[in-house]
Amino acid sequence: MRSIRKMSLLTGVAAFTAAMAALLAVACGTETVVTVEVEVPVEVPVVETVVVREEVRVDVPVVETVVIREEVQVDVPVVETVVVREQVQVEVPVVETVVVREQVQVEVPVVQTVVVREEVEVQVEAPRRSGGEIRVGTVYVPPPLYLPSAQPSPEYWKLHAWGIAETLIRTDRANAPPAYGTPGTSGLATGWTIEDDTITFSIREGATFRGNNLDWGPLTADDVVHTFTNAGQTGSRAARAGTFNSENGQGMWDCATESSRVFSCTINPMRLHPNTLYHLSNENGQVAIFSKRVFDELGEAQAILTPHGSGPWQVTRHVGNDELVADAVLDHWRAAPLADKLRIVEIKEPSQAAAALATGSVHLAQIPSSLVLDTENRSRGRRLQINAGLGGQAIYFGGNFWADRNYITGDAIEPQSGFQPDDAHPWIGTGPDDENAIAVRKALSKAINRDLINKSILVGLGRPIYTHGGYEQDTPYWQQRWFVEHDPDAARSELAAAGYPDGFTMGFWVPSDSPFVNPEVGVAIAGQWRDVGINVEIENTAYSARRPTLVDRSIDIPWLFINFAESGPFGSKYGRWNPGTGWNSGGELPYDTMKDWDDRYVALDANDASQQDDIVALNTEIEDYVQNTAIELPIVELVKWYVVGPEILSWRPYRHNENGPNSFETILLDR
Amino acid sequence: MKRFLARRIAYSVILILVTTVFVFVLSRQSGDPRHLMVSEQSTQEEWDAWGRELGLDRHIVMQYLIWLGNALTGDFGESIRQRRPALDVVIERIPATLQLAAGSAIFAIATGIPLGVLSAIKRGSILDYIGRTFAIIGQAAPVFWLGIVLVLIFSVQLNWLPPQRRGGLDHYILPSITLGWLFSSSFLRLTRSAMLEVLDSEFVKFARSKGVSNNIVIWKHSFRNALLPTLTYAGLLLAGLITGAVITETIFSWPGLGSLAVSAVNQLDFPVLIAVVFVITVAYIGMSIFVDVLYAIADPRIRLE
Repeated sequence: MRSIRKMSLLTGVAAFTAAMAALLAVACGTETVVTVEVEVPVEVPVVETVVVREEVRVDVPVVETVVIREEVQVDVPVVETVVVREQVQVEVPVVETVVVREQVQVEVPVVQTVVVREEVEVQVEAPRRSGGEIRVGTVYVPPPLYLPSAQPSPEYWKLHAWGIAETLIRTDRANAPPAYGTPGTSGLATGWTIEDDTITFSIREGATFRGNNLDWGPLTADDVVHTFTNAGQTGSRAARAGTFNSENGQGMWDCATESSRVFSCTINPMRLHPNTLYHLSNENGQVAIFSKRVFDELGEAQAILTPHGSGPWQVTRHVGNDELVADAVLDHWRAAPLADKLRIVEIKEPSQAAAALATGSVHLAQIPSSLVLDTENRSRGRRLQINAGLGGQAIYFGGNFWADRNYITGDAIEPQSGFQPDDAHPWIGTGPDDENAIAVRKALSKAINRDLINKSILVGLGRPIYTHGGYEQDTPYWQQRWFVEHDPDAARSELAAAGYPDGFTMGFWVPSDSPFVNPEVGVAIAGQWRDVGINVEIENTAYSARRPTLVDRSIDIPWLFINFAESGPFGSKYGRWNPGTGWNSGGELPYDTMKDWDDRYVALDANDASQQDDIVALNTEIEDYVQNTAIELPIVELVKWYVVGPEILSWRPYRHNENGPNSFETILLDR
Repeated sequence: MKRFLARRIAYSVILILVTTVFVFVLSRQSGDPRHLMVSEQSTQEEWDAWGRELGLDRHIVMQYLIWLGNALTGDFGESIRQRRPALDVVIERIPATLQLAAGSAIFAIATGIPLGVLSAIKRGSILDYIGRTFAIIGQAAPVFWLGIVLVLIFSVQLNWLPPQRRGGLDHYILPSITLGWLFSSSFLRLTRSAMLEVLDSEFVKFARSKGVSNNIVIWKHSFRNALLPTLTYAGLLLAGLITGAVITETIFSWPGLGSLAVSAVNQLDFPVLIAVVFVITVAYIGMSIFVDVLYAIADPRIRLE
């Protein structure tokens, strides 16, 4: 018996050791000078004027090599008008070197006149490439979803922000959405027109779908129509599905191809949302364009999982919640990447992201402000790169559901479950005219020291903000009456006057995981509210878990989120208080108020300079409404920063309101 | 033995069923996944279509029975987020978790058992105190803190080891220590107390009185007898490492089952969540049965009972 026991023991030990060894075995076994063809109609009369982008004046005796940044028109004695796109070196057969950066006027001695009307070939020096692998740390790598109907928030924007796919419209740093009728963009559309109830887009040539080293052919109007139709179909999970169906009449639908380069969609010109085109763009991009051929050949289920896109990077590996690896598309129509390879890895833990930066495991990452200075100090040669003006942090007083009719249908609606205007919810008013609730909300606003929050939490990189619509103090539209002075004494006395001398208990939701929210700002606000006697109970519930209460209108506490001032001075300012279905910010303005603003917006044309004063007047009226009711409290502009390692020499991201890094094709590595 | 095995397997099946009921019900309580898909412009028709697609338009009992019927055929539904079979999503994460578990088990056994023996035979000495301090740190330090401190020291300050993610062998060291230290402490304490008990037993005293050398007394007579409880624990260790890797995987961005479970909870992806829990439950129960069988072989009194 003893020997059996010994044998059993040994057998057990051997089995376990074998199992461990097998597992270990598994563990161990794992895993330019460029010729640019440019259309150059050239008329050179006599003396010359070179008009480039911005204001520079250069006097040059004779001309020779011209290095130009952006779109440039150069009139030179011998050769004529040259239209160049990016960084360009133009060789001209005379004497000297002029480096022009922005708008430039050059006076050149008279020589002769040449008129050229055909295409001109210009010797251009391509931007210097560094090669190498860019490594980026991000809090979330979405799963492979290469079809808009399968892309819920926040997946929808990452593929085009990261340069895998592209949007129809591309804007760079402009604040405003592209205007209707804009003749051209650097996106997949070269232009569009609106006539009656039809919007017609022209598609550029030269864009090609690629992925996993497969060439899926050139992008055509068919692909765009397929993509938009798919996004708007019933059951689509696209975050902006409503932009592509006729349900609410604010977007465009029934898109159809007219030729391989042209397609058109139906619109309701009286209901067209002012931001619809903005919603098609990379800055607020909702839908990137995917290949119809992939869909047709592989079927929907497989197309969703098949990495492809027309961007400057082609995916070679994409594992959700893990990493995305892509190779440079060197012949990309818009921007060939300056590096060879891109690797985006998911790092959820902020301190780990800081460690990854400090050790050089990644070259670029976003980390919380509390770790920024430490990381900079600790990290040899690391620096902050700021992408400024990406929206602010604002408090929304959830529960103020004042609407009695559905915004879309106009049908009467029952009071929402979060609408609790009682003593337990002093911040919820019975309507927009409930003076007591307004007094409470305004007192809470005065209790907040915005300047201190900026200095302490945002390390002084942000700024206090006071307006819902972005008409801040540095704009010509600012009104001094919108300024809120930090005055805790006044806050206490106003709370007392409203019937709360001892304060009250109030929940405050600060989403712990939203890319739009800096939770430290929320904690600071809660502390300042406590200083005036409010018993604040912070809720750090994940956004995804709490979001349903916004959809079903059961939220009844204030919460912190991004404000929506991104649409520029002439964009929509009527906010997210729609009394309809779907997501909103936890409050509903009366139907008549919203409808009035909506109708007036639709009647205005942001491109018509003569109407822009009217738009500003309407936006100012809305701003006054927000200020008077204090339904939303803007707090600070949340500057977005990235910590960039010394491995990166330069990088030019565009402004993106979804708080993510982008434009990796512009990264030049130090090699 | 057959009866013993049959009984254990029957219990296990019941346990798995009960677990799935709990997880199914709890996952539904965390919210309707359609709420994550809704935008400002969503319509009632879209809401209803999603409900039909996800099976949410039926009573929860019916939803469970449908799920169970499908699960018996290996169909755990489609991931709401990833749009592919939930089981596929889970299975592709298993290797990463097993690899981390293996690394942690090696660390736990390689440090816990020798230190436990050493602690016992040098009781009261400085070595004993070092061993016990090691055990106390492992049991007291929260995993998330331990992981971050290790990264700070060995990655950021010393630049010896990579701070996160899967990769070469060096990528396994910090997460394995982070996950394995707690188990190493348990091994140490278990081995130490078992060794102390055995060292004090009559047969050891007899062996010593016969003039048997100290090494043979310790390693042949004492250690082998003290190994039985440790062996039992070692069997459960692997299952524990698989189920306990949630925090470690999240900290080290390790693409295993733990981090998948966290993502599934955050994204209300309940088909994936249930599949993860199912796989982990089966793994845990499977290991338990394996240990029981080993134990029954080693000690015949157990099957009689």
